Amino acid sequence: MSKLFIEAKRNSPEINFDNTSGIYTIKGNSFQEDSTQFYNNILDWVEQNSFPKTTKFIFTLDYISSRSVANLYQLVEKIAEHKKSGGEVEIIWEYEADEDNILGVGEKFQTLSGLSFKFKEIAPE
Amino acid sequence: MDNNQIQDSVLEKYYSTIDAIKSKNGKVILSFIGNVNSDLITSSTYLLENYFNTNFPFSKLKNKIIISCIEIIQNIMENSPKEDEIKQNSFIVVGHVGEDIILQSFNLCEKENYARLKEYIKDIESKSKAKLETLYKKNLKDYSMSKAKSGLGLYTVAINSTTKPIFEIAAITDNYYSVNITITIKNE
Repeated sequence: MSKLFIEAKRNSPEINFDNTSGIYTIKGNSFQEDSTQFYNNILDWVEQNSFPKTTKFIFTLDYISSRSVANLYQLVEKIAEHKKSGGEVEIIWEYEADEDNILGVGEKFQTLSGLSFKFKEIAPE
Repeated sequence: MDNNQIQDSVLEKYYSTIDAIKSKNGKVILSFIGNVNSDLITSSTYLLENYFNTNFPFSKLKNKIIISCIEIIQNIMENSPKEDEIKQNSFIVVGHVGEDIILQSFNLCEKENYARLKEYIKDIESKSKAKLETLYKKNLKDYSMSKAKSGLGLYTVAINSTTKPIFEIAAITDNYYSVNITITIKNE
């Protein structure tokens, strides 16, 4: 299975992971009650479908709960492992100009993981 | 105090919270009393988003308020007793007074959870925002290794609050404590 697609809901993000193109996007809100289960399913998919050598991750998050932040960070650690084992990783972290929180989450992920993030300001929707 | 008396006392507290906002010529943006669940998070975010898009366009306030509201509701869901008739004694009120947005929550917690919650709150109260940011990062890292409870929720609330958050915990029966949280976020 080279693709993982999960449709966005009001409280959970759209997941579009494509091992063929090496592009992985997470877009939307993330404050679902079953956040751990939601991200565990994604982590399981990542375990079963190794990343290709060249990868690009695009995060475009809106409202994210602390529980989702903790769960999402586990994915970031998987990305860091991929990089350590020789993978090429590009991470784009998009945030709206008026949202310090989302930018702050990305900055924390960058500091903790040691990965390099490209922060990109986007216009509010 | 029996269940009916608990309900009466929570209702009184709820209305006095609303009256306190109105008495300062403030506006109640959101108020809910009852069984707090994840549906409330979804409806609250819609409501707050509309309010802030209309009244504070391009302000950094919206995201802080919505995230804090999500965390406060999730905190109630996590710490409230499981029995429906007890769990329904919870409320959340979001008010707009001058340049301040005030979020207040109330819920009951069981005696066995009191010590853990009290310790967590004491820890938050004793730390500056900078220290809370450091602790947040540490817990985030620890969570990824142990998958233990992240405990980031009230850190987020305290970091977002412009003034020191107010936490009040009091015994209301032999088995239950009331937990009252108030945070103020200024439009800066």
